[in-house]
Amino acid sequence: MNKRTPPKWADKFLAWYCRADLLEEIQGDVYELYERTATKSKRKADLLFIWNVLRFFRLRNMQRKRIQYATNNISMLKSYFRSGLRNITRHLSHSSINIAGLALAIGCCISIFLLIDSFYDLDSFHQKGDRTYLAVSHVKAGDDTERWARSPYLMGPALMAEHSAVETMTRIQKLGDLSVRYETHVFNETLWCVDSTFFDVFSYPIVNGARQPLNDKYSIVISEEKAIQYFAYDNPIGKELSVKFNDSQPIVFRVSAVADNKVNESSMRFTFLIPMEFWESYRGEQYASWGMWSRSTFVVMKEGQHPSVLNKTLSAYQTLQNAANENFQVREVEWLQLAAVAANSYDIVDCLSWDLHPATIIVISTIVVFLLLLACFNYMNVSIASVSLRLKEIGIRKVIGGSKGQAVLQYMVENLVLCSIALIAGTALAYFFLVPAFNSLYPITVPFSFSSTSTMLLFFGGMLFIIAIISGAYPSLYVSSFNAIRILKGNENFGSKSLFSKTMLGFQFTISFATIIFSLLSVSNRDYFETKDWGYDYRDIAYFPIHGKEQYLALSNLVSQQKDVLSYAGSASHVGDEDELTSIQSGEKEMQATRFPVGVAYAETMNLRIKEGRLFTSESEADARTAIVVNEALVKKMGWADALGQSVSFHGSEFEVIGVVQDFYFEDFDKVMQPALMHLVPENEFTYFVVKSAPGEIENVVALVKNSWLSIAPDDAYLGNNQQEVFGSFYRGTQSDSKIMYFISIIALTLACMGLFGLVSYNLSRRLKEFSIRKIFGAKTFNIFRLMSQEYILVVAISFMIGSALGYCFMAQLHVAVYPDPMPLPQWPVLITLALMIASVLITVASQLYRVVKENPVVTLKSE
Amino acid sequence: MKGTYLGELEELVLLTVGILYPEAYGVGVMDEIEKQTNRSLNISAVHAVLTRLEEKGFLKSKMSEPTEERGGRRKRIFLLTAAGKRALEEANEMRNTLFKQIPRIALQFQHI
Repeated sequence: MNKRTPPKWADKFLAWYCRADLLEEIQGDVYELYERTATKSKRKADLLFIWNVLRFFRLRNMQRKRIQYATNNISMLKSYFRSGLRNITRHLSHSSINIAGLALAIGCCISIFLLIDSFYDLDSFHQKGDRTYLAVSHVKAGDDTERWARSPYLMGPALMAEHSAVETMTRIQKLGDLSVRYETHVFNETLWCVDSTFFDVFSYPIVNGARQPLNDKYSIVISEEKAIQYFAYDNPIGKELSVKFNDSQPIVFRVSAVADNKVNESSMRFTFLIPMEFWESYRGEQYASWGMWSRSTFVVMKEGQHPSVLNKTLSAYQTLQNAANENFQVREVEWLQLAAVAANSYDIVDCLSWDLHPATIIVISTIVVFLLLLACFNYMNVSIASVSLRLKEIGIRKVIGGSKGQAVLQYMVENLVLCSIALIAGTALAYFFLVPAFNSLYPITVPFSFSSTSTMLLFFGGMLFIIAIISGAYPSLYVSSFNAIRILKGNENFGSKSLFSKTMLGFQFTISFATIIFSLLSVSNRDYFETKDWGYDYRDIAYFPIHGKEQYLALSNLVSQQKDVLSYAGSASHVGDEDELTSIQSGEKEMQATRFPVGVAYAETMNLRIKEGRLFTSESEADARTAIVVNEALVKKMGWADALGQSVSFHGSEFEVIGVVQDFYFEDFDKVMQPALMHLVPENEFTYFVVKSAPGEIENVVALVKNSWLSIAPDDAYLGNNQQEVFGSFYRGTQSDSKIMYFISIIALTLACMGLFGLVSYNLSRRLKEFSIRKIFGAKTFNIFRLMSQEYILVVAISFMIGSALGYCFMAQLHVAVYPDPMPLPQWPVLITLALMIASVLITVASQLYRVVKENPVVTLKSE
Repeated sequence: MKGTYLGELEELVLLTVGILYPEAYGVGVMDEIEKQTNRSLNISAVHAVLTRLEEKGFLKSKMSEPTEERGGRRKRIFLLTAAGKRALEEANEMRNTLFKQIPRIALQFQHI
């Protein structure tokens, strides 16, 4: 009989929407009509069928509730939950791999999220924060506009006076490098001069002392950690601190309050506050000019007022300001709400808030998302592989009436159980290990707290949801799609050679190899910088920032008596610590060069290598006025064939080149070598004292200077340092970076190995009987090893090639972009990664092979 | 009484269910109406009317024994209830009463 069937989709559609109690008669009727028409024309019958199905699509025929199913599912949930837990405990090793992998990735996610969350939540504790605005000046810079945190010094008070909409305001001036002394303790500090309204604008809590602490001209407010540093456990209120501004006599301030500077919640970090009133009287009438700048001006508007009402007044000020300051043409003033300052500060020049570039946030978020994906892929792989052991369960569930949807639900619930455990483990990991480790690597402290409870709930809920969906969706759909009858007959040809899981595995290994190569390359890059020639021998040199001629003479006196001191010199700037860009001119050419005003013996003390000509001598009168020594970069940029005797002019005077020294690093290594020159300055301008000792003796000299420091400069902080340390922060930065990179690549490799382990071990469980038979017939361990590993070796080898290529490409790109003087990329990281790859595959497979070797084949074959 | 009002199509379907006793079901009713009155209805419309009549209490239904022809699916067999019979009678009677009241002259068309 020729069997005709109506369009399948229409039939399914009918079955889907139709009420269960009506379905049979309706279906019966449309089928009857279909068959009757189909004897004449199949096409017509199909159309009629579709038409009828559509006509039956009425509210009264539709399913209202699936009461039957709903109760069923809820009562089954408990069972799913239990079978999920049982499954976890039954295959403990595999579940722990899954959980560990996910937990690791979740831990990383939590840490990074905390960092980002705390960053965007900075400054939210200020009570008037929503009404507080920073004036950001848009300054003309060539054809572009730059955003500056600076604004005219007179602007704040003028706005207050003219506009009733302004509730209050404060200005901040930052004064760096000041020596603050309490009895015999002297430290180098940064002070902020602020208006007395500072604590009305910001909600930094005053821990101890007066409520209005800045009313007295000579009052000083200190932060809690400074109170401990200076006064230990004494009460700091009323204590006297003397502050030395430049070379003047120290000025005595009285501590009026101790304030909590909210290190973890505030983007700005003050340590000392003094009244603006003092600073104005100290600096005299120059502050009455519109050309004068305030580092920052914060304005608090009255409730319901927007700072745009000030714009009209502002444009009048702008005219005044632009007339007074020709180099700084302000185009407009932007009012930036306090909470948005930290997020914008990367783009604002001279902003007092610490910044985190959005690119950094994107990069680290991408990395953790990748880690999370890796862990989810692991889970997918292992759970798909594990299906083979549970096929019968699925078959039976389906036969006794479980629908596909229920099978999906069951797997999702099991998955959710596992993910919840991983989430708890990951949180613990982040709390006890990752966040503290992160805090120890970088000079910021990320507290383990969320900005709000809703953020926390949203984060954890969202995290659980996303992980559960990503890791569970494919396996559960895959599992539920098996045909029950075929499973139970044993006919289901379970895809052991599943392309999908191999692709996943390959992807995991590719990523981990790429990160390993990348981190090894960045470490080798760091090593390269460490061994790189600085252009001079930095060992056995120490430098001490000083103030004035007397200190210079006293120090000279001190060290000249030491036999270990080979040479010493004064200077008004120092290689690696302080320099100044100056515009120089030679003939037609004009360019920017870094200028080092130095003492006579400076170049020699610093071990600078003379290439041509000579260094300064004290015999020559002319040297002191007209001689300069330049570096090779300057000669090259000027295009001189013969540098000696060339004339250069800057600061309105003519100079003559008497010598050329080899290029030496005075900035970080990732900058191109810039032109530099040295000229002589008299002793009373010296701000540095530099000493060179006999090899290995520098520590003694430093100790000697340190011990005598109080008698030489009682009001100045001791800031002496070994020359080796000038790039210390650069090294520490790259060290922290490479530690992070190591950590990430180790995690990536671990995750990939876990994935491999899971696949191999499940594969093994499935083929245990096969291997046992092979053993009985005399297969060698090696043969079995080969059988087990061959399919994975290929995957790992391919990902190794792609991964290392990716790692190299990425590093090469980064090198070109960041370092102007790229070093050749070494080959050894590939070898190390190759070794790691072989070791990881071998160990993973061998750990499973052990099971086969140990097991008695008879036992395996007898089981089940 | 609003609920017992019998619409024109409803009356037609009710009558057909009576005619087809005891084998009245969806497609059968549809075919019979087409045969007797030449009105072509969609099966879904017939179902809707049948269901409505059952809700009003004029019809009752039961599922038939499964047969070969519809792939083993049963039919829903509709039967007239006492209320259905009464509704038919009332409708019939009312029509007759009304018809009788038409003056004889109005039915003689040769004068026009």
